[in-house]
Amino acid sequence: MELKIDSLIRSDSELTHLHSSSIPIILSTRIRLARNLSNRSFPNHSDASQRSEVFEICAKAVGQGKGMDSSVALRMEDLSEMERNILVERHLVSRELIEGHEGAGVIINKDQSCAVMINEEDHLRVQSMLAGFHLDKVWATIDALDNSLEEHLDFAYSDHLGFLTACPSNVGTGLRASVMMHLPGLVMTKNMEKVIRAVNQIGLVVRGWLGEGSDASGSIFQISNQQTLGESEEAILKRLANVLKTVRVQEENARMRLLQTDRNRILDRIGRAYGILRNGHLLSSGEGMSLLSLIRLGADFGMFPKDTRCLVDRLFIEAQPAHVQYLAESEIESSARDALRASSVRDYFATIAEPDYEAAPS
Amino acid sequence: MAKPKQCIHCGKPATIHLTQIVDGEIRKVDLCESCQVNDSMAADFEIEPFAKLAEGVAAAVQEHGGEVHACPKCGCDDSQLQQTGRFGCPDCYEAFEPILPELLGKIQPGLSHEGKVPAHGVQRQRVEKKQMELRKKLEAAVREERFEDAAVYRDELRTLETEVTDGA
Ligand SMILES: [Zn+2]
Ligand SMILES: [Zn+2]
Repeated sequence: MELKIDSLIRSDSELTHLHSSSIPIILSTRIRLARNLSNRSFPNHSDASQRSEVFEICAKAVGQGKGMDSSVALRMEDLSEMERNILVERHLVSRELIEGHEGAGVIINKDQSCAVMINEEDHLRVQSMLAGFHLDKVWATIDALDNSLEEHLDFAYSDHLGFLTACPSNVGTGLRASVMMHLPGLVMTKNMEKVIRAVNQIGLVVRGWLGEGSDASGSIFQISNQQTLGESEEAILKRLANVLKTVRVQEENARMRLLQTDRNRILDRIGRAYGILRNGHLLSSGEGMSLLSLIRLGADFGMFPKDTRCLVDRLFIEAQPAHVQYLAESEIESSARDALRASSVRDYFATIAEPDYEAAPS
Repeated sequence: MAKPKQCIHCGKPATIHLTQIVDGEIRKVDLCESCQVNDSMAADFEIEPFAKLAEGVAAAVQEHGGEVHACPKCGCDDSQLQQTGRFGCPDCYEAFEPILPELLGKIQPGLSHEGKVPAHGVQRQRVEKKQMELRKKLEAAVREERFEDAAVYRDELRTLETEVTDGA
């Protein structure tokens, strides 16, 4: 069975392989811009033929866009459910896009660091992402791509209100910047709620990631801006960056506190996580997330070889249900998936040395 | 009437309702706004400040004495906006202009755009507007047999056109 997204899965992508920039606490940085063509109804207010026309116009312009060389264009109606879910798990498209109407699609560049959704809530949702903490770099990339699109497309824009979007909560810059953070220290010390409340007060939002409950979600949280009008892109990014730096310091402090006051409990959890990932024969995606999260924490403590962190980040994505199903090369039940997930993770962990407990700072 | 759904975490009335298929099983979740952040499932969804928006539309409609707004281009009206929280087309912003301050005030920190300007698009718009003006002037000049003026307008139009082709 030759799949349309085979090449995407087989090639090295920014979030799964190329992250030499993998760092503690911050997983990835992403910015998206909402854009619409002028004089056309928004996707939810269009019929199939109008959406199809928009897809053709946008796909052509995006294919020639800056940084979009050798990109692939995928229409959701041509993909199987598994393929669509793989795109979601790789953070290339939203759930709204794959559940959307005819004419919905995405253009993805070679290293999967840029993905432009077409006919989601807006005609265009331009997205750019990098592993690590790179708000400035991602903004420079997406700003250039946006400029190159704008050379060929007339965007709906008003001097007064900026870029016009289907939902008024995106009008203006149409910009949403988000950073994925790994915060096990704040979760274990039960400080996450406090952080969320403080962050909310300055117009930013915190959301959990995939999985169930804060533990099984791998203690991964996404922090992003909510507001888009009345502030420049630079001002939005600066505010976000300041908050992230504060949260990072809080997380570092929480980790140190844990090591000082509850050392055995924390080392025990990391040691057990290693034991299960290396020896387990059934692994659900939720358990996988929470154990991998502990391994990432151990790697930050210096207990595992440095490149273990990159592997964990990759497994965060590749241990998700649709990716495991792809590995099976056929539809399989969730119990068979848990067995396959465990065996593939076992293979990876067979080569990772036992945790070095002495390395953890005290 | 159906009993209002309760937040699965704290039991308060739920304002956010999600459906997701996890490992082949359908999971439905009802959340209140404050628990939404803690529930990882909510992460996959872009939860826009829906409640606030609907509130804004309702307040705006009342403020304007029941005055009805509808977009002449796409037909989107107050009740649709209140229901979906979405506009139908870019022109809607003009049609709903009278209530925009109330609407946006609830969810945005400011009311005017401070961000980037699509330079090419703005330039294209400027040229188009100029062309239209010149064509009108040209027509009038021809009609009134002011042939010297007409020649000037024709030249200006040609210059604009070469500007456009050079720019592209
Ligand atoms: Zn609640
Ligand atoms: Zn409209």
